[in-house]
Amino acid sequence: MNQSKPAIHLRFRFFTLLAILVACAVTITSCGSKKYVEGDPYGSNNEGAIASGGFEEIYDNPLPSRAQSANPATVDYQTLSNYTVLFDFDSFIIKSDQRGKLEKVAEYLNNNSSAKVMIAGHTDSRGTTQYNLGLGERRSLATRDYLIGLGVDSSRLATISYGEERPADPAENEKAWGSNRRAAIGLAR
Amino acid sequence: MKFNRFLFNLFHFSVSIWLVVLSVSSVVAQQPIIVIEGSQKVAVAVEKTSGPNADVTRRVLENDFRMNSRTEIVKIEQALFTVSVVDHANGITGTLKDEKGKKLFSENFADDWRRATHRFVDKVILTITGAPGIASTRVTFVSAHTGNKEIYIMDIDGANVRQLTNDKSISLGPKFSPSAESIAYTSYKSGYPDVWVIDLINKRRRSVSFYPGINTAPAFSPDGFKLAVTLSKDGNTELYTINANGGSPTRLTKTRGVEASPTWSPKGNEIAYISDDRGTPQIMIINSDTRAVRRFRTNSTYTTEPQWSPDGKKFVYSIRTAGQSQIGVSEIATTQQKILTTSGLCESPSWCRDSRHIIFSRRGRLYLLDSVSGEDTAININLNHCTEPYSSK
Repeated sequence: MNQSKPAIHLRFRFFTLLAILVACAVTITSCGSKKYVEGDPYGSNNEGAIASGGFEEIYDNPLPSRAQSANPATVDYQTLSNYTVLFDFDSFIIKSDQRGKLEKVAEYLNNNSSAKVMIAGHTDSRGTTQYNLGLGERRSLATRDYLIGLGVDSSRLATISYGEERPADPAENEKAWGSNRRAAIGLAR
Repeated sequence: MKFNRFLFNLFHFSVSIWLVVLSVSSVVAQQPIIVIEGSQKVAVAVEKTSGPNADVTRRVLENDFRMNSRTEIVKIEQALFTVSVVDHANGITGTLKDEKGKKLFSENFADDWRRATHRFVDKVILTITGAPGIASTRVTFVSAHTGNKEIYIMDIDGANVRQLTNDKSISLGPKFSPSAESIAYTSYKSGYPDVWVIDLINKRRRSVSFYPGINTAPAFSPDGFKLAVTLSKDGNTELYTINANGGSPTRLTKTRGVEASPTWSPKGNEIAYISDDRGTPQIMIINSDTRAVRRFRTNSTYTTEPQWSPDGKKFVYSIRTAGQSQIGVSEIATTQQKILTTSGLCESPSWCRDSRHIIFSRRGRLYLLDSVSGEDTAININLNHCTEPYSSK
């Protein structure tokens, strides 16, 4: 309770800062995009490069520091377990039939303004360990980006990947694989 | 240099080999006595072993010569070369003779008798064929035998298995440093996947990369000073390099996809890795200075876990063909490809130092695969659920 006042002060200062930042935004953006093209890993033909313009805004959303996030050992994956996002094989695209779940999650987070989330990405057992770690993380990041798009503050959204290490269903069949390709929404506690 | 060539035929064994004799002086120490072509084998016999471990030493020797694929064990009368080993308090003394009984070398190897024997065999292989032997190779790998994935180390023949971690967490992807004195791996010990480095000499370890998100897939650069890693701290899974003892990372890629499984070229100027930025995982090669990227094509749209061969000429990888995961090898210069396995469920290939043998995992067991003959042999250890082997170079 004692902390609420300083927090408000901080927020006012934050908005002042934001105004200054917005004023500078045009310059920064143009510099940033130039730099970006130079650093394009696919060379001058731009093959496979990120589309320029609006996309970049949702692309680079640095993750909150660990100190700000939930302790992975004590995350509660039960409360929001109905909203676990499921994925196609080797894909991190949020399918249209999964988006309603994330709208519910965003709603929950709006109603519980102190809640912090850990998004845990998982894969099925097919594919290799290291790639699946990356794919699991990409699933949690896609989920995170979608929630940011719904207005959730990025500092509340941490990610972790367990790759194929923690299946929801250890069986080896289509049904099990389908339930293992998931991003589980956990709450810090 | 000028060589004279003579064809030898061995009766009973239809093994023909080109025997190359140096015509003038043997200037180069590692000049091969015999050039082996394809899957040909040189006939070797164990003449004598003596000392407290004589019987075991013979078995270790014979196994090492078979495992090598360049040599086979025959009776003394049929041998082109004979070896003998005396084990004693200061290690072993190994002697190599040619078929006429002429001593080619006799040397003391100061080490425990088993390791000393492996080193002797490697010197024999190098002396005869000019190729590095693999008998003294160590393997680090993951086993979930205890119920949790932990890091282990062993000799390539399956002896001296040691459990290095006991974290009851998840430990993944161990890779030796070039000197094999350290192992980098991913551990969830903190709750998050972090990169750790184990110092095998001083028996210590430290966390070297623990950014928000994932810190995975560490691979030592050929000089041992850097690690290539996958991090997601900036909001996507990208490839970075960091100093092997920690420090701020340098970002190499920027895509929407997953970048993982980096492996350095032996010169250290390029890193191959996988990226699914075009939909499915493919091998890409990035120049670590210019950041120029090119795609390395294989005959499958699902190719993962590339490993650059120590001679720089080949990639080994796991590849999905007809819905099955197999081990494949490509010549880098020509992109000519060969699928080495047929059984499926083959993963995590790692080159041995001779750029010929490969260790990999299948159904929780580890195998040694000869990329020339395509034959694989199980490495027998008393652990289940073994994955992600990596051999010292």
